[in-house]
Amino acid sequence: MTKSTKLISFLFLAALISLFVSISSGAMSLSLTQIWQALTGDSESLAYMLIWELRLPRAITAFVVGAMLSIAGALMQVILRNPLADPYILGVSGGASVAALLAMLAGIAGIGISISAFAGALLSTLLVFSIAHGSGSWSPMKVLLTGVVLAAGWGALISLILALSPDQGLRSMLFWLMGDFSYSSSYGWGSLTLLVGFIASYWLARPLNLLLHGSVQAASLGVSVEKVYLLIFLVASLLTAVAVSLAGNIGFVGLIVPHLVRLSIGSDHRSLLPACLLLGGTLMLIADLLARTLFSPQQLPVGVITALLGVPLFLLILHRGLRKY
Amino acid sequence: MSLLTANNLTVSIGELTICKKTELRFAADQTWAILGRNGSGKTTLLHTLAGLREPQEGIIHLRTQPMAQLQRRFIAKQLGILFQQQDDPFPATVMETALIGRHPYIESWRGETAEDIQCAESALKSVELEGFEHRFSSTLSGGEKQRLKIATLLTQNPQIMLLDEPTNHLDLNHQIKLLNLISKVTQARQGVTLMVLHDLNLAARFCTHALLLNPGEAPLQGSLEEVLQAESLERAYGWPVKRFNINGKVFYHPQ
Repeated sequence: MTKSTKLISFLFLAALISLFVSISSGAMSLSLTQIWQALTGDSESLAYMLIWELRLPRAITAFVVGAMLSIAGALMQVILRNPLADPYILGVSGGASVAALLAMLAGIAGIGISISAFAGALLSTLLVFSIAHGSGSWSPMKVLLTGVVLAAGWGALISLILALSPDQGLRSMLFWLMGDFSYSSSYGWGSLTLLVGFIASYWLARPLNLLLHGSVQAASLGVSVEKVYLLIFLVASLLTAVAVSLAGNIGFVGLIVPHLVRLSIGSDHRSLLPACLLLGGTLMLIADLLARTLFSPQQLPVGVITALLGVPLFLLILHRGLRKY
Repeated sequence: MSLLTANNLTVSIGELTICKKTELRFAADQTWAILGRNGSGKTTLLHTLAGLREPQEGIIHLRTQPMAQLQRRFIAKQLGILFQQQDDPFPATVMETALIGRHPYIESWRGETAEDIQCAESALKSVELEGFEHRFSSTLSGGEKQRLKIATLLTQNPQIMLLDEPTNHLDLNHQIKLLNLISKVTQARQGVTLMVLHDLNLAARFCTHALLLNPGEAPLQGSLEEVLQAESLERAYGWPVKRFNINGKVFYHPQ
């Protein structure tokens, strides 16, 4: 068994275990038999409601969001040829945040916030594309700079909205900005997007490997670079937009998960992408579990946990120098 | 037979016109030296001939087919290019890097076969990088990185090779070994090789033809004998060059 198969099987197991722990713990912990009964259809019990209506949807959302952000991060890092790239680098989350905050300001709640966040994310992506493509030629550096500048603009708008908002709305706005799963209501779309995005990017795994060596090198080895770039940008933007609309701004996962995987098994996208999916999802599940239970009944914004978990984990693995950068 | 042909080719970059309405024919069993001052457009010309850059005017044919109409994957099976600059911000092993040369031959739903791996192994061996397979390319020295790039090109195994300063970073020993290897591969494949060189003596020793770029003028092209004369070299480089012929071997000495 190769190192990457080992890692992927291990991560798969870890994902299952954390999913199980996540649905069994909370304000009311459930035993193994209760969970089994609930899953096999004893619809009368409290456990059934707790699992099917609260914990499982939330756990799946957390997993899907973590997985989407990690894959989007890995894709962004390759196409922008920049190890510091994350899913939000092109201002997708900024656009989503402005739209979501405006929706909150207008008194919209629930699914409306997700919808407007998604619209904002798409708007921001389109802006980056049209501005960066405007004058003809097209380079990762130009897209990157356009995205970064737009993100700064969105950042200013966010501050403006926060400054002008009435006090009672501020708390939920801040929570949304820090990443929060309590708004997540439907995970069906998220799961579907993740599936489509993963299949599309996995199909392009070998061209992505070549793009690591630069776009002209990839072109000289037979990759239709423009087509691949466009497709990857679309996939990464879509994954990010859906992730942001489900859970707000959850930083760090999309940046570090791809690096964690590269540090242990290298940059071959045929194993990198599935490993990112599993590790990103699992880390997010654990982060959400901690966010729900650490100071229960008080809930923490999950974005805080991802950073608190991610920073030491990343530094540790980097320091051990499993793979040389 | 001409493997790579440019008709009525005009290439310019910024203010510089590299060639204007020029005809170029690169035929089997030829090795061309592309010579010229820094900034005379050697790399740009090479990229244009590889189809990676649109010429201002003219058509480039790969054998008999216009290159602009061909798929990149099809081109990559015939024509390979060694780039002068390359930076890899993400970790990849020597083996992984050499294997990317097989990309044009592998269908998108398939992985590398044992045959592909064998091909990469023998390419690595031919540039003396055996035993380095699991090292990260970022840990290699400049010369080793250069040899890895050459191994990747050999793994690709094209009939037409365009090499941008192949001897960069190589020590004396590896310069000669590499150019011997390139000659051998070119002959075995009945291919054609174009290489940008700065060392006239290496050009005289390993090439059959030369293309000398002269900014603002038409490039000189033809056999070594025709192109590499002292006067034309002096004009192209703006520095006096002496040419010696000792027992049928030609040497150049910049004054």
